[in-house]
Amino acid sequence: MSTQNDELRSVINRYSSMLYKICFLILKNEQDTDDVLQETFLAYYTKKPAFNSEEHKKAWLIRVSQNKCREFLRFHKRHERVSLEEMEEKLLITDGLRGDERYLLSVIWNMDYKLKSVVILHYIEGYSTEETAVILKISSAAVRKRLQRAREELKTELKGVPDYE
Amino acid sequence: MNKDYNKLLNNIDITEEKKQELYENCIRSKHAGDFLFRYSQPLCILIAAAVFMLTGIGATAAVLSVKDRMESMSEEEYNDYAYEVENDTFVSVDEGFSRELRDSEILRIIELERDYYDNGVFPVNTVPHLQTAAEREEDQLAYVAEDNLLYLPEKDMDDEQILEYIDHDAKKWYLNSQALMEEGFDVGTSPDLTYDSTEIAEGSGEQKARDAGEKLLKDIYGVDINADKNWIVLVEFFEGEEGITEDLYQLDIYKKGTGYADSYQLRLRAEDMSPILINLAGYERELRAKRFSTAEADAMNDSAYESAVSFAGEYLGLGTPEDYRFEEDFGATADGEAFKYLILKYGDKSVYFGIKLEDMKVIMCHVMRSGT
Repeated sequence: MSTQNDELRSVINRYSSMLYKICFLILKNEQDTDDVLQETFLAYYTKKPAFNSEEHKKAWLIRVSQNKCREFLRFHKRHERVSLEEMEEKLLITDGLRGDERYLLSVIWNMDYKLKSVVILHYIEGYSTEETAVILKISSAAVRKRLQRAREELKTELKGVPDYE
Repeated sequence: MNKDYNKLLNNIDITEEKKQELYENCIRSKHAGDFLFRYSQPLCILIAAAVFMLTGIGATAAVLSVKDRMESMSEEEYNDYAYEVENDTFVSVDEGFSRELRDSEILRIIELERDYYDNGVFPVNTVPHLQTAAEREEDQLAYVAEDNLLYLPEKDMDDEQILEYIDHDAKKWYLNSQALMEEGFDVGTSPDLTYDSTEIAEGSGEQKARDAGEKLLKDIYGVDINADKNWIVLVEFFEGEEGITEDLYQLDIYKKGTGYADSYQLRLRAEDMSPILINLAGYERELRAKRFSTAEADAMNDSAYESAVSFAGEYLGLGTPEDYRFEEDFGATADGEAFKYLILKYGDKSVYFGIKLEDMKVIMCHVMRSGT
């Protein structure tokens, strides 16, 4: 059991930061993000899945956390989604960002789940469309379509913002 | 779109304290379970037991006929269920339905589940998988892909529909468990996935835990798990983590063919096999329990307290508590209260009790130390 506990600690140390960023951006509040991460790592700890590689493990953790985010958004509605402006009052979330970068973050912040999830996985985590499709359990075509819609949305929203046209 | 997106999230990060909390909570949850949550959503836990009956060494002929039924699904039906399972993102079972199951239906499900799993009583038809809700006939039990819902008839389901429901559930779990195993889940002692009692070596700690658990169940509830071969007893050892938990054995005890019916969970301290947790779970117990108005229930507080103290004395070796409190607004439904929940305090130890008001029996007892 100690080996399993060591493994759990190592996985939390390695992946919690990445999962926290993704889930926070999707759920838009700290408490739900904490809950999703807790449930994700608990699933990892109790299910004891076997992985072919570290990448496989990372993708599994993202997939589980994404499923849980979706459940939270759909059913729980436990905590209000907070606007970026309100969040900025509580946390130093945009400190150090240029104005255009802050604006880009606010556009992603306000996207709906379907677009936001592919944007995060593809652009922020660097997964290919095929890998994103596997993680989200949707088709590659759906990922490409969502990315296209996301790009259109970003383009429209960022029109006039220097460096983002 | 070649911007440095990672920079956008530089300030969003988890603290070291939260990482430590995640770690400790995982270990605590695995060991202690979140019983308040489990009680509030019994369906999502208990329906999982249905998967027990699907296969396994020592299974009865009727159980094997269920397995045969699963394995003989047509390719089309299998694919329909694969689609449904793959799109299943629901937190609890009810959220995947067009309406909640009614209590009367659940009680009938419990009866017919026994027929389905133990006696091979199957429905004449199977639940159709439709693309759109428009294809569904009035009061038809059907899965509709476009909104990923199992549509129940507005009127109460009749016996054929309830058997179809049980069949649908069994097939879904069959595919679900297969998919999980293909993903490499260790099914060894997972109640959701294993089908047989834990194999135990003579004279081992597991054997002692099983013996102690058997005795507790017989003494407290009059249940003899050796008298019926359909009981499944899972025994798992957990090594403690200093300052978080101690070494313990967990026993999960279910009966084949009764997904919604009573089951038991025990946690025993490895050092002396004394109980840390005794839990009688099950939708059947909840639904069949007599309910009382709030005033009637409150008038029973003294009796509930006495029952808890007496139980603590008999099975935990504890005396009169230093303090106690009742959990407010917990366990009450629109139909009234069937249970009272209270906490007895003993120094650094708290004992959480659930008491069935009808007969003042303890349905749950959980020993917790502060900080654990």
